[in-house]
Amino acid sequence: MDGERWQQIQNVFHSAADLPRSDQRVFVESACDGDEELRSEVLAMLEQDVNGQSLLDHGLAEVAHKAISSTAPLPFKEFGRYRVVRLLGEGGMGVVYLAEREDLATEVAIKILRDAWLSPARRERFASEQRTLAQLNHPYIARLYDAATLDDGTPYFVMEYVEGIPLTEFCRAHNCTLRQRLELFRLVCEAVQHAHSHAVIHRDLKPSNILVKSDGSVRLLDFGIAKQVESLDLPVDQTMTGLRLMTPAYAAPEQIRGDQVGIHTDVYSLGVILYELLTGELPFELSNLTPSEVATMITEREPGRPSAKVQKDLTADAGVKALSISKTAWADLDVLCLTAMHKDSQRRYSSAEALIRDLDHYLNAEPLDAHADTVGYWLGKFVSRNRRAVLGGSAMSVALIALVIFFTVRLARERDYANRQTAIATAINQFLSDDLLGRGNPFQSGKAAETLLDAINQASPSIDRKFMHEPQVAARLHLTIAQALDSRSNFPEARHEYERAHSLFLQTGGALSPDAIMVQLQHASMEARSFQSGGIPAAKSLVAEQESLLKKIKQPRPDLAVWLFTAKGMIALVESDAKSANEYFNNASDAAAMLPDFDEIAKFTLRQRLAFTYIRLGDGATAERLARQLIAAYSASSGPDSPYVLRVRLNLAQAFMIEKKFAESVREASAIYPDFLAKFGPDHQLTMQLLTTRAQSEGSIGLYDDSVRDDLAIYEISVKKQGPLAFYSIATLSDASVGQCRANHFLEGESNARKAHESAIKAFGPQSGLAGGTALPLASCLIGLGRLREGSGYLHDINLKAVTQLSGDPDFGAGITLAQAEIAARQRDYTRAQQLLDSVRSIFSRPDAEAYQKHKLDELSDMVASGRQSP
Amino acid sequence: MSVEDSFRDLLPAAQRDDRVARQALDQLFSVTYEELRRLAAAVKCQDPSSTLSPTALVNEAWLRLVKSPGFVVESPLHFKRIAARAMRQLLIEAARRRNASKRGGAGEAIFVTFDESLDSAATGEGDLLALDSALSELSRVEPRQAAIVESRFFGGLEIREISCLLGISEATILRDWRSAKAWLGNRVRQAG
Repeated sequence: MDGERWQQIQNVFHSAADLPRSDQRVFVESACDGDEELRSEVLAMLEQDVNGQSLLDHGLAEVAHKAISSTAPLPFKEFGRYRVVRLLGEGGMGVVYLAEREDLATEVAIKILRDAWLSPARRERFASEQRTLAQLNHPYIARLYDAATLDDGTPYFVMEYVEGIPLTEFCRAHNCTLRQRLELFRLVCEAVQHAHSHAVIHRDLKPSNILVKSDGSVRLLDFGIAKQVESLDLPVDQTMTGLRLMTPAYAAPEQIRGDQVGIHTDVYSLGVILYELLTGELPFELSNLTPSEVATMITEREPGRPSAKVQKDLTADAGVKALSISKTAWADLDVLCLTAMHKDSQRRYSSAEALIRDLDHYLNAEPLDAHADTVGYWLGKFVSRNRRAVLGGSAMSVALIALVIFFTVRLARERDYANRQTAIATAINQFLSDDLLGRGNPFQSGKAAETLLDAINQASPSIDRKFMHEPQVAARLHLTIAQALDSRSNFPEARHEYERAHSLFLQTGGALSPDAIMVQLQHASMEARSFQSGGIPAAKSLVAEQESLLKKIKQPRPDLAVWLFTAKGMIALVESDAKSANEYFNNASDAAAMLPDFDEIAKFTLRQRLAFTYIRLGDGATAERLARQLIAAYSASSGPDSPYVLRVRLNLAQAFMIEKKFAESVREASAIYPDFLAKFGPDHQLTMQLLTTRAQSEGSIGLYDDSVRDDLAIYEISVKKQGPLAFYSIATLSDASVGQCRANHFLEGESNARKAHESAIKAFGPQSGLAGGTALPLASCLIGLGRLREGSGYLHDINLKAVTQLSGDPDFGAGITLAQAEIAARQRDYTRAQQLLDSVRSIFSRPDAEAYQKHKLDELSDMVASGRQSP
Repeated sequence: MSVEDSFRDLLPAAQRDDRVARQALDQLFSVTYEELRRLAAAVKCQDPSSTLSPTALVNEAWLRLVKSPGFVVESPLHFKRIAARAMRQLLIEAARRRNASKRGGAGEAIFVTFDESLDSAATGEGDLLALDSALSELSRVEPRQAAIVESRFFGGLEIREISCLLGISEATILRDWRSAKAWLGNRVRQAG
């Protein structure tokens, strides 16, 4: 049949098709004009058109049913030395049989891949499960014995047959006690940790994959969709292996979203399992929900505290009720469970091992580590983000670094506020130091034992009870908590505490209570700083209210002026009126200076804020001067090597860096470094901040060897503290590689850059901002080594949006373009190089552009120019 | 014909030899297969509440593969077009294998039908193979019409979607579908 013939057939067919059935034949006869073949073809088609029952009329489902579902594997009775006993189960990919090895009379499970012909991807997935099992050698993981293929190429493997019952059922059936449950759960965590240490993520942890044998030992099964962390060259597989293959109830939000999975994904599932063990129920009721409702539930809804679930649920199964977990135990168990299940994977336990550690803490009645939420963590994260921004040299980084200075000081005050309360009552002191700040304050020990928020959540309700007859004391405590929360940016919680303090002060001191006014003014400052919608109007109305109250008082308490100026200054600052803000803070600072009783640290904070306004005004020099004054004043009052002075000197070094006085920044940082080591220790956050500042300043003036030395030192500490996959570790290693490559130590640089990049992918995924941020240094090193294509590949894979979001550096893309221009130039594609260079020229010719990149731009421009001239 | 070859006309030129794209395609097969099994199982159970249809199935495959970095598909519609081809390939391959095993081919030792009463006519793999070869013939003569059949029958695309995809009016599609279906139906009947 050719096209012409087909047209002919169709023409006759269509002309005839709409005629009455009885007229069709006559029409076709005449239209075909003796062409017998045409006639019979069209008539047959017309018959099909009316009465057709071909598979095209039946629909695909029918066809699929016939073609696929009736094909079932019926294996040989013998698989090598094993004889099949019975079918154990069918999964998405394979079929599992119980079999016996006759010579040894051992029972085994044999898994065969159904329809192996289908696609290499399926065979690969099956093979990968087999490889995974082969490398895992752990008493709690079902063991692989053997693997082979049948004659037709169908692969199968033989593994340990586990006769047991699912974890949750076991606990129910045996009425396990809380401790037994936790100990079983701990075994599971150990098995998962073992898998993780072999770079294997299970991805489908659920009770039915965790069997408990009659001897009470557990076995982890079904690594069918497990993922090798290292097989990063198979991006298709990891996101897609499919929701259908896993169980939504235990799936982490990132799995539901189809985002990158990692060891944190398993940690989440472990959290859900723990939840179920503690409460007898799943955290989310998913039955009767549509898939999209399930997805929303898991990705957005916060699970209730396990304790609340058990209390609320009268129908909870008897076994769980019989656990009768005490209130204090629940406090820890809630934290354990919800930390493991945190929606934000970054805030979960960083590993199964960390989860085990906290389980052990609980079992040994020690305080938990659950630190995902602590001040130190938050600060660390903030600083590491900020340092990326500083590297980019963008205007935004100035504000950020100032915020860090500001925040650091707030923390100091928090601690000191606690000390100050000794004057009020020993009870308060104890309450603060033991119940509250002692647990949450990273300044005290360098390691925060428990989350501040949790400590507060526990402590706050007990205040009113404990100090029922001392409302004044209760008010002060609420105020302190408000300030602590405020300093952590937990604004809604802080607001609540401010309000509580305010109403208690009103209760004891009446409508014109100076303390009540003070609280409201501090509250106003917070609202202004909160950057939440409605914050500024709320702050303004609070301030206006207090001002009108102050007018009714003949002689207002003098410190109220300080608070009033502070609140107004804060509002001005947020409204970007740096000039007014500067005046207000100057006033506040002056007013405070007149008050001998005004808290020294609070004064100090005010001055620090004042410095902040100068930075906002672009007046780095004044910020520097203020820092110097503070240093002088504090050196005089509390000694030149007091921690406060040291901290301001760190700020001074940072101020120098902002002013681009890099040499001075390096000098200052080097001068105080030994003191930091002595006072805070090498792995204290402040010491690391100091080294980071120095490394950046060194890098900025071409002292690459020094900056690399510092970066590597920070890296080492960071690895020790947080592991090689922590954000800070990776970022620092990447920085080190930048220095190495800029110093032309390309091989070392490439090796570190690669390590950083691969770690970033491992920890955060190939599309993450950090993966992108580390790809550029790697590409630069590769370009330096002349491996242009490879470098180009890495540049190509960068997810620019993610990097920009992470670093806050709007010019990161320009850095990529510059690298691409270098590749083009070295490939002698001068036209393209020229285009690329032109597109970023304006960015790198700004006065605040980084010297190295400026230089690079010029160098490449010269190269292109001379390249174009010579033929 | 290799898997990639059969998609040659649907993939952007840049992707045809791309390793990642091949993997993505491979993955598409795997996912599509699992979806097909589901569809087939639903028919088997005669589950009246089942809302499974080729359309739902392809949508599902799309959701599962949409984030795959390997596919540079221009649009969900373009993806559906590719998925329709995958469906066809899978079913044909399954039918071929069954056919081979009945005739004593390599798969015999493993794959036999559960239900011995199912003869070739009832399982219809002959029909499927006949449809495939007729469709290939049509494709040589009038690729557009073959694309309509493939999209509609194997991919469950709606007329409106096919219209968008191929840039022809809905009326033309209906007309093309009608004649193609009649012709193909006749070919399948003759073969059977």
